[in-house]
Amino acid sequence: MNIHLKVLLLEIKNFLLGNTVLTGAASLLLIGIYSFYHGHHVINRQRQTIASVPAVQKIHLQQIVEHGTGKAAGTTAYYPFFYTTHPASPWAEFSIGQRDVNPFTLKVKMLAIEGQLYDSELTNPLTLLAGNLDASFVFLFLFPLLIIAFTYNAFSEEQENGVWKMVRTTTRSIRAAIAGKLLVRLITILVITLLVFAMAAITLQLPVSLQTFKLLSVLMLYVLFWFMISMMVVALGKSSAFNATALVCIWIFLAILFPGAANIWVNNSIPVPEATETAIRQREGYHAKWDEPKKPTMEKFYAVYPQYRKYPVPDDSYSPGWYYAMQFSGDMESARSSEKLFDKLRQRQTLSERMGGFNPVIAAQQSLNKIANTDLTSHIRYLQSVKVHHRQIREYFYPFIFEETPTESIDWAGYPAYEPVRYTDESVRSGLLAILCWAAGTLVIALILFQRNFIQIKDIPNA
Amino acid sequence: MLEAINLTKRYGSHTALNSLNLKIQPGEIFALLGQNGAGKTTTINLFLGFTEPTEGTALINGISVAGHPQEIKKYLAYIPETVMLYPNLTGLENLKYFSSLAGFDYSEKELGELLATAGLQSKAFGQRLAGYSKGMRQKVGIAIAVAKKAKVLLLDEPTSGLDPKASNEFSRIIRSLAGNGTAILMATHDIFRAKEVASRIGIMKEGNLQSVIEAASISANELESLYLKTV
Repeated sequence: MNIHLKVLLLEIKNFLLGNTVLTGAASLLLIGIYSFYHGHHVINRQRQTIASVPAVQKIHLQQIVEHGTGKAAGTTAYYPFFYTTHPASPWAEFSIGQRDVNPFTLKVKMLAIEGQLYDSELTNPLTLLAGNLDASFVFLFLFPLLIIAFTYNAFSEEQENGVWKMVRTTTRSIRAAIAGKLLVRLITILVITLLVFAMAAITLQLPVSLQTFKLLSVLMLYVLFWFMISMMVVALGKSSAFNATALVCIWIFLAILFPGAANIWVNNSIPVPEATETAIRQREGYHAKWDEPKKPTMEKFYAVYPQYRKYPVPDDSYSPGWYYAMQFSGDMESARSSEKLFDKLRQRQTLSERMGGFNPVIAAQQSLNKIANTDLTSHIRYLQSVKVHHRQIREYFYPFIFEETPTESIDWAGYPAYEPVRYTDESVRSGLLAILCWAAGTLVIALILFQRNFIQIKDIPNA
Repeated sequence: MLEAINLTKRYGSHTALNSLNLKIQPGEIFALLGQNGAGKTTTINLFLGFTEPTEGTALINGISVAGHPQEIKKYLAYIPETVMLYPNLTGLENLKYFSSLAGFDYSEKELGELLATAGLQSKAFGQRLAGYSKGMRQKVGIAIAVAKKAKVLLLDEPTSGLDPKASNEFSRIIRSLAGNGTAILMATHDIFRAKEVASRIGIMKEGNLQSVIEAASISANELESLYLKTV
């Protein structure tokens, strides 16, 4: 057997027989298994709700028709809800992202849309407070702790108990001895990463696809980044206590304080009062119309839908055509602030992505959510699809409303089906690049420190 | 061969070792006696390349330690007061690890023979080092030194804390290593052990080598008197 392989195998044996390794790995595997269950549970409930939507929609419309029989379409059209859904991608169970705070089903009426977009139910706030222990949480927040536990005393413990002196005086290449110890830890960490990922892939039935490979790439790079951080601190040549404290502080800063501060900064830099403002503007726009002459309202409507000009709308009394035109003009008046809202949400997303360049934890989180389509961008796409569907519904029913068709004569099954947002393959190149640059930068610093503190002669107590 | 030429080490205003001149030939055992802080361990650390000299040169086989800290490692072996190895590995595995690290590829049989030569009982070969006594660990340390085929052996208080029998056994092995041409520098407090194994004895005080005596030319009692007078 090759001499280097002999050394490596004994290093592996020595490392694996340490107290922290098996305990740490087993704990992580157990938490990993729970996280798969949690992710599956949360997303499966959403999927079940989404699966029940067609039946609910059918029953709802049947009840509307029964209730509206004998009445004109304009009267009945006020009541029906039309359901939209935001299906979860196959990777959403791995990274729930914002799917727990953003609605995944929205029901819209033919009334003004803006207020309806934000009219959703939140899940139990206590659940939101606790957060989600999904697989991405395990990889992004717990794996770094395991890496810290595996590496913080890689050399310091041997310096403290005197073994390092024996290693230094015995080895022909101190570089090879250092590399061997690091390699053993890196191999162990990568094996655990692959093992937990493979378990996630099997349990959560992740498809064998480029997206799954991207997910794995982000995680492997992220794990490498944390290994490099640990290497850098270890290379300072300080005590085990110092290394552990420094690494935990770095973890707290990168994983908790920095993202928290970045979130506050992004929210303050790009305030979004437009959601409320849009809803208020739309409602005010709509309510003001009751007291205004009907003609200007109708003219705004005819500018978009000139084909309805031929239907008479009395100026001194209520008519369904005017009522829905009024709803539409409410949306038109809030259109600008609605666009501003979406623009600002996109700006927030862009700024958050830029923050990822400064923090690999944010970059990794964003990349996972992008792959899983559980980020803000994905939610914006869903809201826009709801707006499209709302327009399709209105345009389908306008002829019946203006012609005052009896409810029972309408083809209620013939309205355009909602087209859920398809999976979007978002680029994670910038996230991967950010993590890679940080890992490479940290590696360079670690190598310089190793040279200075471990390879060159230096007056330190335990050599 | 070991050589110190005007070897000096200062820590700020404190001089730990002052202009040491010393030459130890192959097959010679040189014992450094002195109180704590006399400069014995500093001398050893300078030869090991654990610390850089302020002035002067430490040479091993004619090679400067400070100039070639890695190259000199192949010539030397080191046994500290307490040999610390990997407690999760067995004695045999520790020897295999360290000899492989030194670039030697021994078979299991050869490793066993090395441990036996160092005086370790065969039943202990497969036991984890965590259960070894101090004396047993010293024997694994000797086996590593022998496995390395070291030309220079540096010993820092090697018999401290060993029982008399283990100390005697240790002395026997050290003499046998010297007999094979190894130059040995041993720092110790043990006057009688120094007298027993060394060919020359140096007495240090406050970083200075005060006197060098041929061990054969002095009795143990005379050495003790001289030592007490010096320090």
